[in-house]
Amino acid sequence: MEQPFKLEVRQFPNGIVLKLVGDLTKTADTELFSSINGGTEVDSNVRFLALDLSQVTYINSGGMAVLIRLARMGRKIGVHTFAWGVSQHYEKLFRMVGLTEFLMLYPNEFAVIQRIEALELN
Amino acid sequence: MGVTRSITLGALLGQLLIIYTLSLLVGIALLNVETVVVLGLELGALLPLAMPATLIGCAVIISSLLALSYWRLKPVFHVLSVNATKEEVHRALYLLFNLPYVLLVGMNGVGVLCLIAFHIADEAYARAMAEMEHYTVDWSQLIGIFAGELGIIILISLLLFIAVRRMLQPVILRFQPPSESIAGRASFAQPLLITYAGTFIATILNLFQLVLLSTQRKMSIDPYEFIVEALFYFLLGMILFSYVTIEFRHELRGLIRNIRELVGGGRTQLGGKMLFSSHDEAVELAVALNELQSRIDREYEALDRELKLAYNVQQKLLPPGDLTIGSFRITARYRPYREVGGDFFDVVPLGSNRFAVMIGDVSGKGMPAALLMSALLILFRSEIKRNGNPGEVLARMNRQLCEAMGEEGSVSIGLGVIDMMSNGVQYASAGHLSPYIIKPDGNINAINCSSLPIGFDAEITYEVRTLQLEPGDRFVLYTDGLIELMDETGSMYSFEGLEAELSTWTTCKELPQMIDEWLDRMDQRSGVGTDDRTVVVLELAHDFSKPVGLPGSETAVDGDISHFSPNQFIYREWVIPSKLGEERAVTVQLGTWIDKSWPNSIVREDIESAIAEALLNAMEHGNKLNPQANVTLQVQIGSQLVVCKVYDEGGGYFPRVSRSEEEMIRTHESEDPRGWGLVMIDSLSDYWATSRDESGFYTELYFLRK
Repeated sequence: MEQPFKLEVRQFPNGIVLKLVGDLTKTADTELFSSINGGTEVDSNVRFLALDLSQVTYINSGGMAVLIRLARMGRKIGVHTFAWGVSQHYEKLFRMVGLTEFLMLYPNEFAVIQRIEALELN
Repeated sequence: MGVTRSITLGALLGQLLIIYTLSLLVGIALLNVETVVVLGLELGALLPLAMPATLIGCAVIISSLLALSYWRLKPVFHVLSVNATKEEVHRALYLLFNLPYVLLVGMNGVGVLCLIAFHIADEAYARAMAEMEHYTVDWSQLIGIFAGELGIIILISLLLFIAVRRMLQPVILRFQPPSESIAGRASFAQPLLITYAGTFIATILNLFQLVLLSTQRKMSIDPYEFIVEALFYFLLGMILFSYVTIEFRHELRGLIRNIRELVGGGRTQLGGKMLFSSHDEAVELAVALNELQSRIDREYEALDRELKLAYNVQQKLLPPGDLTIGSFRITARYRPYREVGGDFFDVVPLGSNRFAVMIGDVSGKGMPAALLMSALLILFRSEIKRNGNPGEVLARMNRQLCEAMGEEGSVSIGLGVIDMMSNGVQYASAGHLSPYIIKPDGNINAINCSSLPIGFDAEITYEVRTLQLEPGDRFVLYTDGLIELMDETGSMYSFEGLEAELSTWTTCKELPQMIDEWLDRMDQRSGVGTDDRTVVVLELAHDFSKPVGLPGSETAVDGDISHFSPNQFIYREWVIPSKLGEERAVTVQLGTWIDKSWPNSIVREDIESAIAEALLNAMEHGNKLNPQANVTLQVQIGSQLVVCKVYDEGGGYFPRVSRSEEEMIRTHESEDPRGWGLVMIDSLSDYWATSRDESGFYTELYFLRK
C-alpha cells in the first residue's frame, strides 16, 4: 500500500525541477536534501526551485515539514520555490499549516513557467 | 460445666432450707427404722420424749445450718452485686468452694451436741420415771444407740455436702472462667475421700450398734439382720460415692472433649471457655486449656483478619460475576474452598469487537495458591494486551512462569478470545478441562484440546482451536473442583453429572439465576467440598455485528449505510506496530470503507489525513516508536457520523494546539517543525479529544458526514 518515495531532478534555465513520486513523509527528508546538495548543486545561477507534486500519492505532516525546510532553505539563498500538481485536499492542508507562506502553488507546470518568466522580465 | 443463671441470696437460702429439711427428714426416717428394727421399740414409746426432742433437734440443726450459710454467702452475693476487685472475687469463690465442707463439719458438730443433749435429757427423764435407788445407766445400750445415731448424722451430713455442692454450682459459674489463682486449692480426691470415709464410718457405726445391742441382750447376732443392715448402708454409701465420682468424671470428660476439639483445629469449636464448679486439679487443667484456647483464638483472629483482607484483595482482582459485552452475557461464579483460593477467571476487552475470557486453576489451595493466582492474573492481563492468539499468550505466560515457579506446582488455564463481529472463538488450553458448547436445544459438545499445564516445559506450544458460536449458544468453562465434588455416599459429581446438568439448560430461565441455583444444589448435596469451584459461562444472546431489526442489513456492512438509524453503527478495528509508514495502509483501507459507506461524501481525504496524523502521534509520542508497542484504531461508522479512537500503549501526552501567528512562525522557523499533526487533526475533524480508559490512552476524533 505504501508507495516508495522517488525523486527525479531536471534543470531548466536559472532553475531546477524536482519531481517527487510516491509517499512524501519524513523519510523523504534524507533523499531529497542529499539529491539537491549532491548531484545538482544549487549554484549561484539557480534562482527558481519548482516542485512537481503531481505524482505524490500521500503527504503527511512529516512530508510537509520536509517541504517547508526545502522552501526555507531556498528563501535564505534567494531562490523562489514553486509547486504544482497538488490536489485540493493537500492544498487545503498546506494552507492550514502555513506552508503556502513559503511555497507558491500553481495548477500546473505551464503556470509555473509563466510565473518564472514574468519574474525574470522584472 | 453448666449454664450460669442468676439467683438471689434469699432464693438460694430457701433452696438450702429445703435441702436441709429433706436431709433431716431422711435422717429421722432412718432413725425411726433403726429404733423399731434394731432396738425393737414400738413407735408409740418414742412419742413422749424422743419424737419432740428429735423435732426440736432438727429445728436447731436447720437454724444453725441456715445461719452458717447466711454468714458465708452474704459476702459472696455482695461481691456479685458490685464491681468487685479480683481479690474480692477470689475471696467469694473461696467461701463458695468451702461452704459444703463448713456445713459438713457444722452438721456433725451440731448433731453430736444435739445427741448429747438429748441423751442427757433422756437419762434424766428415765431416772425421774424410775425409782431412784434402782436406776442404773446401761452404758452398753447407750453407746450402741449413740453410735447408730451418730452414723445417721454422718450420713445426713454427707447428703448435705453433696447436695449443697451441686446447688452452689450456678453461683460459682457466675465467677467464671476460673483463674489460675483459685485453681488447685483442693484435690479432686477430697470429696471422694470424704464420701467414702463417711459412708464407711456410718456403716461401721450402725453395725457396731447392732453387735453391741445384741451382745448386751445376750442374744446371738441375726446374720440376716446383719447382712441386710450392712448391705443397706453399703448401697447407700455406694450411691453417694458414685454420684461424686460421676460429677468429677463429667468435668474430666468436658476437658477431654475440649482438648480433642482443640487438636481437631476447628475454628468454630474454639469459642467457649471451660467452666468449673470446683477448685481442684481439673480446674488447673481447665485454666491451662483456657489459656491455650485464648492464645489460639488470638492467632485465629489475626489469621482471620489477614485472610479477610486477602479475600477482599482477591475479589477486587477478579472481574464482576455478571458482565455483558456486546451481545455476549458472561456469568462467572467463584466459590473458594477456604477464604482465599487458587481458582481464577478474567474477562478482558480487547478493543471494541474482541474480548478474552480466561479460567484457571493453580494446583494447591489456600494462601500459596492465592498468591500465585494474583500474580497470574496480572501477568495474563499484561500478556493478552500484547496481542497474539490465545496459544501465543499461553506460551508467553508459560515461559515466564516456568522460570518463576521452578518445580513448585502447576497451573491449568483455558483461554478463549471472542470476535464479536464473527462470533468466532479462538480457544487454547494449557492442561485445562475441556469446555463445553451447549446448544439452545440442550445438545452439548465437549471441546477437546489436550495440552500440558503451565509450568512444566518452557518450550511447549499450545494448539488453538477455532469455534463458531451461534445465537443462543453457551460456552462453559469450569474448574475440577466442580466435577470432583463428592457427596455423602462418596460418589463423585463427575463429568457425567456435569453433562447431565448442562443438558437441562434449555429453559428460558435467566442464566445467573440458573447457575446460582445449580451451585446451591451442589452445596446441599455435597457441602463445600474440598477444592475451589469456578464456573464461567458465556452466552451469545444475539448477533452483534448486524444492525438489529433491519431487513437486508447483512449487506449494509459493506455498502451505503445512509439508511441506518442514528444509533446504528458498524465497527472495525486495526492494530499496527509503532513503525512509521504502517499507518498508510490503514488509512487507505479506512478511506475505501468510508467511500463505500458514505458514497458522494467529501470528507474521505480529511478523515484519512486526520487519522494518519493521530496514528503518527500515537506511534511517536505515545509509544516512542517502540516496534513492540501497538497502536489500535477503532472506527465506528454510522449514517451521519464517524467516530475514531486511536489507542497507544504509552503514558499519554498533553495535547497542545496553538494556531497563533507567532506560534506558527516559530514552528516554521524551527529545524524540525512539530505540532502540525495536531493542527491538522484540529482543523480536519469536527471534534476531537484525548482521554484514557482500560485499554490505554487514546485520541478520539469525530467526523460529520458532508
